[in-house]
Amino acid sequence: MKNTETKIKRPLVVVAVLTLCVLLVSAVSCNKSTEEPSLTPYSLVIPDGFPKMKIPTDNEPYVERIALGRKLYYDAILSNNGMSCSSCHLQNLGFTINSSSGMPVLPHINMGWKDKFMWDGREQGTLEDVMLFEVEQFFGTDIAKLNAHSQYPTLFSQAYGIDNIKSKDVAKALAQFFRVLISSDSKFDKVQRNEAQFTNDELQGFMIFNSEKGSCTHCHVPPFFADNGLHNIGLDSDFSDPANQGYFHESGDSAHLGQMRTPTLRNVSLRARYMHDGRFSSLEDVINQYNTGVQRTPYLDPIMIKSNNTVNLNLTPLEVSQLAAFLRTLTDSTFIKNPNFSKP
Amino acid sequence: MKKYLKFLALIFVFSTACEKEEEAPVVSPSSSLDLAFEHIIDSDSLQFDNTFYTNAAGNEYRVTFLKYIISGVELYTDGKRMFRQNTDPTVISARYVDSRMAPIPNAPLGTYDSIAFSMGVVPEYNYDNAFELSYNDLGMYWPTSLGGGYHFMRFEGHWRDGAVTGGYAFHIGQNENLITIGFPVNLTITKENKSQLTFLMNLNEWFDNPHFYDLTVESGYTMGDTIKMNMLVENGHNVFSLKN
Repeated sequence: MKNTETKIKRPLVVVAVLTLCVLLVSAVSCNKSTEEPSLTPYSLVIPDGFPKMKIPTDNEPYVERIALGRKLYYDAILSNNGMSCSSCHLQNLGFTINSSSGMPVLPHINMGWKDKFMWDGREQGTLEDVMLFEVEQFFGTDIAKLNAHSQYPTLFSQAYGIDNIKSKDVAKALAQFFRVLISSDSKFDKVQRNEAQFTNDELQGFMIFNSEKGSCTHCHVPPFFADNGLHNIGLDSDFSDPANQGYFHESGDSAHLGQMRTPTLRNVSLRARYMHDGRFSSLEDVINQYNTGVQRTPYLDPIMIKSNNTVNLNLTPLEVSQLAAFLRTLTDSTFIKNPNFSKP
Repeated sequence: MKKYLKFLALIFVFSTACEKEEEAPVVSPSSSLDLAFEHIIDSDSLQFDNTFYTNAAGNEYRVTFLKYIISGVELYTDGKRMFRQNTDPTVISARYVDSRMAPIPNAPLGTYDSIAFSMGVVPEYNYDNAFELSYNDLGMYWPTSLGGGYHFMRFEGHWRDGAVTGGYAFHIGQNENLITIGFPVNLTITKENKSQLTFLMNLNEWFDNPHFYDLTVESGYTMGDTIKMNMLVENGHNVFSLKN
């Protein structure tokens, strides 16, 4: 009897389920058409040799969202002191600034792949996460100003279908612009694509960079010329100054003393000061630090200790200049002049 | 000795199977198998950064970095190779709990009595950009100027022995240094359940068996040092065991 009942009821159940599905789909579609804005899809082009970029499903790239992020990037409305992101991140310098004091500003290049941010790596997560930190903590953005603005409520409504702007929405829009700041057209890139050739010095420098002689590539890994990692490279032997303590700040673990995030070397020659405290003012000074100045402490990254148990590279002056010549090929003139990245 | 005999027997089984070049029978449909890896120092679980362990030479060492790649997983029944992995190699990052698994998504349903895998990248994948690495794993590329491809392993840290201190960076790469190992298993892959095998990597074995590796005598930096790398490769055949 039970079986008969089941047989009779099954078609009815199927019809009911199908009807429910149709109704549900219609409801979702209707909801979408009233709440979701009509957006222009943006196809993010990932250069050859770069890994896939992870993009949160709730913040897919669209032209309108990128434009909104770009507008915000250049707008001092984010802060309460007249500063915008672009005040310290100048496009012609590869989105950094050559200040004469303080901690050098890290460049905004190829950020879409990163999940560790700041010199000491204390901010970790998605671009949306770090942008939320920038909005809420770094700038202390007054969201009421954005909601009262003559343009932003409309722009956010168009881009995200929202009526009331919140910090997380600003973070999402900024993340959209950061994801398109892709640098992949330096002379190095052109050589890789057989569109240009290194000079002899640049080629020798490239060989030093990649070989055990320079051992640069263990941390400054192409194509980003960084590894998203944290390392103590032997700058200091005394870590009493909190500015030199690195990731120890975040972890509290003495093993992390002096560990700083590997900065990208793309556009490195545009910078005027190097290292987390700007102690060096030329590429040659930086190379000479690795050449003769590495401090051996219990916290020194093991990768800095060579097979003969030395910690210095001992490059000749010619090799230093050749390595510097190679590093200058990492300047991306297309990127620093791209009109799509400039102030709208 | 028993360990060696078991190992040699397995290698014989695997090499005989390869020589025959018998086509594996069609086994379908495919299911999934996960190889999980745990990292120990003899009886202790690995703790990164601040915990010092003692190796066979009496050197105390701590671990700051351990990543390696698993590829070329093969399943055998009665000496016949029934399956060979044809998906991308997997980077195992010992520091993170969610990066200690090598998924083999297309392992066919069936019962197998032995398994082999390579620690490193099998030659068909060991060239520049053969498979994609995440930003966090970019350091696993092997420099193009040194032949390209991938690091098979990066095992790094610091050591101390009395007043003497130093660092070590055990890096292995290049095709001739691939470490392929096999284990007898009692493995049944069914449609209903995902199968998992867990392997242990005993870090002390890198310093001991068959080559005694005293960090006060041998350099701990192996990039570009064929002799040291060979010592590690031979020791590497003894670092894994199947967890019961």
